[in-house]
This record gives sequence, C-alpha cells and structure tokens, in this order.
Amino acid sequence: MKEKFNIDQPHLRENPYTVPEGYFRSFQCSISERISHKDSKVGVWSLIKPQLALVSTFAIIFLMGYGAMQLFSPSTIESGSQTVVANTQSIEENHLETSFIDFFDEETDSLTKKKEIDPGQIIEYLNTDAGIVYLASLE
Amino acid sequence: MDDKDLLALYKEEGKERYAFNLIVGKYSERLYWHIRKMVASHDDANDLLQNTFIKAWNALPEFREESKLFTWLYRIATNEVLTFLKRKQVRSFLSLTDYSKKLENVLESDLYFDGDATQKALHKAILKLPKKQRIVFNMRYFDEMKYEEISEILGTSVGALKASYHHATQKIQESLQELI
Repeated sequence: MKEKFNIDQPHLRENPYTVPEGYFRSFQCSISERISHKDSKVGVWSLIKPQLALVSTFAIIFLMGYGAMQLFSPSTIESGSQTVVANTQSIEENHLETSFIDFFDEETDSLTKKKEIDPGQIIEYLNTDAGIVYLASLE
Repeated sequence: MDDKDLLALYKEEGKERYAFNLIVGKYSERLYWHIRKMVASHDDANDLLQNTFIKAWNALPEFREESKLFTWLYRIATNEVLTFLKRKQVRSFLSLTDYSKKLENVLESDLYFDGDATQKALHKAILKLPKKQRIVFNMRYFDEMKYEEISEILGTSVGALKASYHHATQKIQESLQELI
C-alpha cells in the first residue's frame, strides 16, 4: 500500500513562482500612469458634459418652439391659402382656359341677359289670379 | 505607514494619487501572488492585478472602512480572478478543450517557475481543483490566513470553508500520489 503524501512539508509552502526583474517597481509606475491618464480623460469629459447637456436642452427647446410657430402662425396659413389660390389660377390659366371658360361665358350670358317682359303675359297672369286681386282690394 | 494613515492621507486634498501609489506599493506584491497562484501565467496575473488596482482607484472614494483596506483589496482581486476563470472556462467549453489542462501546460512551459518536481506536481494538482476550492486552499495553505479572514473576503461561512479546505487537501493528496 502506498504511503499518504505529506503536503505539510515546509518547502512545499514556499512560493515557486517568480517574476521578471524589477516587475513590481515598474508595475507601480504603470498603475500611476494609467490613473493619471484616466483622470485627465475624465476631467475633460466632466467639464464638457454639463455644458453639452445645457446646449442640447436649449437647442431642443428652440427647435420645438420654432416648429410650433411654423405650424400654427397665421402667416403660414395665409401663405398656404395663397399657394392654393395661385395653384387654382395656374390650373385655370393653363388647362381650362378654352373649354370651361367658354362654356362659362355662354352660361353667364344666358343668365345675365335682360329678359324683356311681354305686357300680354302680364295681363294674362292678372286675369288668372283675378280672385286674389279682388279680395285684396276689399281689404 | 498603516492603512488608517494611508486612508487619511488619501482624503487630504491633492494627495489622493500619492496615497494610492503608497497603497499599490504596499499591497501589489501580496495580491500578485494571490492572483498568480490562481491563473499560473504571469501575463494574466499582471492584467488582473492592474484591473484590480484600477477598480480600487475608482471605488476608493466610496470605501466606507467597514472592512480592512487589505480585505477589501483582496476581495476585488478575488472577484477579478473568479470572473476571469469563469470566462476562460466558458471559452474552453465552447472550443471543447479542458481549461485545467491548459493551465497545466502554462505551468509546464512557464519561464517564471523555479520550483522542483514536487512543487510543480503540487501546483499542477492545485490547478486541477475547482476554482473556489483553489482559492480557499491557496489562502489557507500558502497565505496562512485565518478562516475568519477568508470568510470576510469570500463571504462564505467558516464551516463551509473548513469543509472546502478539507476536500481540496484530499484531492491534492490523491493527485500527488498519482503523479509522484
């Protein structure tokens, strides 16, 4: 039977690992460097960060205000209606000038033309409603 | 300079970096060996030690002195090591390789290992342990820390630590008998 291995031998507790020469001294320097590098980076960012936040907030508010003004201001509405009018005019001028307008003129003529009333027709009308005229004269 | 004086110096305006350099100088070596015994490779140990001190530098303004400075630093280093090993294990699982075998190879080809054959066999056996058992074993066996101190660092009960150390010792003895 094999004997149990004794791990309590003093030399086994010694550290067998080694490091490159001067490692711990250079390690301290590299950590110091990394910390100062990190600090300088953080410093610039921490300076810029609140100012950037402020500027972007103002920019957002301004853009929102400008957008709202653009949407709801009367000048925009007017200019919008002006655009519609202009568009309509251009359509009339370019596409409907001959056909529609000609027809329109005929219509206007027939509507606006003064009709001369025939006196014979007036007498005929009065005769048909003679009863009404009589009752009116009694009152 | 003791920890209280170092922390008092750190709190003085404009002396933070100087005080922190003193802390690095005081504890870097001890923390390095703690990390190195866990990861075997010098390069990995160096990276992890740097990360430990950078994290300590960032967190030092919030350090409330509820624990000793050394315990606090040890805890940061241990967490760094555990996270690193977990990541390595996941990677080796994905690439279907055995991470503890990799660590053994690191030890075999390590230029910065001066131990004899028995010491090499012991450290190979340690590297085969599960990571938490390995930490407990190293802290108790090499750093000769009290269970109460280890408990404070790892947040594990003294009873569980004793059991863990006992299991680790048994496993190491078994693998040493196979190797030697």
